[in-house]
Amino acid sequence: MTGEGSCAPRRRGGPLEGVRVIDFSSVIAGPWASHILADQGADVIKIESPQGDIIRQAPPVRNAAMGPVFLSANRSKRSVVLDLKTAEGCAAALRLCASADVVLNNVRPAAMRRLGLDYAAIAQVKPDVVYVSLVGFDQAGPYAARPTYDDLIQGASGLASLFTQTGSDEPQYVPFQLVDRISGISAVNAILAALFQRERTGRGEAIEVPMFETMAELVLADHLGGEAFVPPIGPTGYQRLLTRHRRPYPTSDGYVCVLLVTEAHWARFFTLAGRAAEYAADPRLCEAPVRRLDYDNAYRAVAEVLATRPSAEWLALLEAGDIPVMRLHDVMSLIDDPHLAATGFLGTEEHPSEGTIRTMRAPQRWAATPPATHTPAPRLGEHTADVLHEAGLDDATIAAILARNAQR
Amino acid sequence: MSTPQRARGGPLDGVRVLDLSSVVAGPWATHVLAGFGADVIKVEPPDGDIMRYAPPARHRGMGAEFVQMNGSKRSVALDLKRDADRGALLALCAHADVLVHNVRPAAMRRLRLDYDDVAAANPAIVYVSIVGFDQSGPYAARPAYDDLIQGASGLASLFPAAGGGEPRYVPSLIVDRISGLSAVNAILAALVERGRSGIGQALEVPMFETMAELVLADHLGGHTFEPPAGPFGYSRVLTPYRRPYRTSDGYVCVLLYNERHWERFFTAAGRFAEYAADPKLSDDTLRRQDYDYAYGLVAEILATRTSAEWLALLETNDIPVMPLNDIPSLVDDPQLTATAFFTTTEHPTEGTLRTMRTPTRWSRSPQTTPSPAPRLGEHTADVLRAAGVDEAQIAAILARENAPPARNA
Repeated sequence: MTGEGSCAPRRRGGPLEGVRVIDFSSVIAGPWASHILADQGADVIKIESPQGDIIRQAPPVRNAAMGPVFLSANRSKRSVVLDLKTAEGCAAALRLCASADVVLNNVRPAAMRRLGLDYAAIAQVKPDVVYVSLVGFDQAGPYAARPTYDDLIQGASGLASLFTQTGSDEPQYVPFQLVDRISGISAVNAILAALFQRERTGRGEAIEVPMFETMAELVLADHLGGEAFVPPIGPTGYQRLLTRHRRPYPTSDGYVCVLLVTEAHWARFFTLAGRAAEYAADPRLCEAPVRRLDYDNAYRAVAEVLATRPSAEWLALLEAGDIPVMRLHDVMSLIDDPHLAATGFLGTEEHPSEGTIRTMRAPQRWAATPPATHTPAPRLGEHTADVLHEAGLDDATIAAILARNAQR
Repeated sequence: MSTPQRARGGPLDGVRVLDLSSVVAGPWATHVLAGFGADVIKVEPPDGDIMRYAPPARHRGMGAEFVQMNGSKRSVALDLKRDADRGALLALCAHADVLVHNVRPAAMRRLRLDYDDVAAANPAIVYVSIVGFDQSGPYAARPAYDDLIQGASGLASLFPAAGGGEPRYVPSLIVDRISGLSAVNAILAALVERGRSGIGQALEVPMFETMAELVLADHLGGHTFEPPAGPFGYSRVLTPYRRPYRTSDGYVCVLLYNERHWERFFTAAGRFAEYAADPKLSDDTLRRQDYDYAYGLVAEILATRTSAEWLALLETNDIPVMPLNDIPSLVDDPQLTATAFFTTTEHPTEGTLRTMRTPTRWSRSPQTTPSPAPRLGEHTADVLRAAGVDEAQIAAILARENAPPARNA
C-alpha cells in the first residue's frame, strides 16, 4: 500500500501500473472488466454497498460473502464500502473519483444521475476522467431503461434460438455467463482505447458499452449470412456452424474434437483413416466449393469415420498427422490438463481468511511488462479506512462512515 | 521516410496495424481496432484469407462473413516466402504501431518474421501473437480452432452437465470472437504502456487459456477451495430450468435475480401468498441451494399466458424480461432499428451491403466512417508505394499476385 498522505495509485507492475480505476460495478460484467485491468496492473478500488456485491453470495462458501465466482473476479482489488444512499457516502465516492483515471459502473444511468455520480458530475472534479458505463442497451433506443442480465441477452441476441437449428427441440442458454464476460472484455477495450487517446490529447471521455448490441454484433457477424446483402442472396445463418454434425464427435469409447479446415486436412484425414479412395471419388467431400454448400453431408462423413475407433487412437493418429484434434474436457478433467499443469496456469495460494484457494494466472504472456502479481480478493469493506485516508478524508468523517457501515 | 497514416477519426486515429492474421480470431481483433479508427493493413497470402471463401457470396472471395469483419481494412497480398515480399513487409513494419498474427510461431520463425526480426525494423512495435496455447506447454505446436477449444476448455461438456444429452458446441464462433477481443485488450494495454516507456514488446494471447479462465471463473465452484468446499459448477447457471421459458404461445426470457424481482414476479402473477409461505422460494439462502425447484416453478407459471402478456406485465413491474429473438427477428428488432445499429452501404463490387456500426458510444470521439471490405490485394501497390518500396519491386510483386491461383481455395 502506498499511502504517503497522497492518493497515489498502488503500484503493482504490469502494463497498466499507475492507472487508478474506481469501480462501482457489481455481479459479473463490470467486475470482469476491472479484473482484467487489475491483472494488467491497474489499482482497482471496488466501491460496494453495505450489503456487498450480490455475487459474493453465490455458493459454495467457507465464510459468508466469499463465494467462488466472486473470488475469481475480484482479486487484486481493494474493497471500500460506501452507502451511496447517504450524502456522506456520495461525497466520499466523488472524492475518490477525483483521483481516478477510469470510473466504471454498470448501474442504470438514471440512478448514477440521481446519485450525482454521472459523467458531468465527475468531470467537474476530474476533467480528464474516462467514464465507462456498462449498460444493457444503447441509451438512444426504446430498451434503454430495461434491466438486463446475461440470460436475457443470450435470448435477445438470437444466440439461444440458434440451438434449435442444430438439433435441440427448444431454445437454450449457453451454460456459462458468456455475455457478461464478453461485455466486460469489450468494456476493457473501450477503456484502454480512451486512455490511449487521453495520453495524446489530454481529454477524457464518456463511453457507453451496451451488452445487447455488443452481443448482437458477435452473433450476426457469424449468422447474418445471405442477409448481409441487400436484397438478401440467401437465408441467414452460417451453415458450417449450424449443422448438427458440428460437435464433439463420438468415438467408440468417448468423444474427440476434430476440425478439418484446409484441403490438406481433409485429404490427410481420409488417407489416415484408410478411406482415401472413397474421399477422392466424392466431389461433395474433396471439392471445396461443393463441400462448402453442404457441411451437413461432409461433417456426417467425418463423424461416421470417427465412430469406428477409440479416442486415444484418434488423438495419437491425428496429432501425428498434424490434423487439428483435441481431447474433450469437462471441468473436472480440465483442471488436471497436462498442458495447464506444465504452464502453471492453475495454482493454489493462501487466502488470509478463506484458506487455500485455487487461482488462475492471467492467460497472456508479456515480454516486457508481465501481468502484475495479484493479491487476494478482499473481504467486504476491507480497505474502506485505508483508501479513504489516502484520499485525504478526515478521521472524523471516516469514523462516521465506518460506524454507519457497521450498523448494517 | 514517413508514410501518412490513413486518418479515420476515433480514439485510435493514426494508429497503424499490420494484420497478418486470417479466419476469425485475428481479423475480429483488427475489426475492433478498425472500429476505433486504427489504420489496418491486412496482409494476405496470394490465395487470400480462407474466410473469403465461406458462402454465401455474390462474387468469389467476398463471402458474407468475410465482408462483415474486414471492412475499413486495406488488403495487401504478399507471398512472404519470397524475399522481395518479406522485404516489403519489413518496410511496412517500420511504419506500424502493431503487428498481429495468428500463424503458428514456428511458421513465423521459418519466415524470419518473429519478434526479433520485426523489432530490428521497428523497436517500438507491439507484436501480438494469437496462439492456440501457451508456448511453454506441451500443446504449444498444436493447431487450434474455435470448435477444438470449445471442447478442450470444458465448454462443450457443460451442456450435458446442465441438461443431459451429449456434449455440443455453441453454434457461433465464440472462442474466436473472445480471443480476438482479448487480443485487443492486450494490444491496447501495450500501446498505453508504450506511451510511457517508448518501447514495444511481444505478447502472446492463447485461445485455450483465455477460454479456460472464463469457463473456470464460472464453474470452478467448490473446487476453488482446497480441500474442495463442494462440487464443480455454478449451480444457477447449470440448472436445466435456466432457459428461455415456454409461454402459452412461444418463449420469453425472464431472470429473477434479486429479492425484489422474486417478490414482484409472484405478486404480478397473482401467486404472492404461495411465495411467501414457501421458504424454498422466498428465503434467498434456501433458494440458492435448489435453483431447480425455484426456476421450475417460475417455468410452470410462465407457461400459463402468452409471451406478449408476460412481456407487458413484467416490464411494467420492472422485472427483467426480454423477447426471445431468432436471427431474422433480431435483424428487425425495434431497439436496433431505433438506434441505427444497421446501415446499408454501397460496396463498389458487391452491391448494397447491410453493415453494423461499432456498438459503443463515445462522448467526444466521433464514430469512424466504415469503408468497404477490400478485394484481395486491392491496396498492394498503394500501400507499398507509400512505404517507400521501389517501383520495380512493386511491379515484381504484382506480377506474381496476378498469376492464376495455385490451388482450389
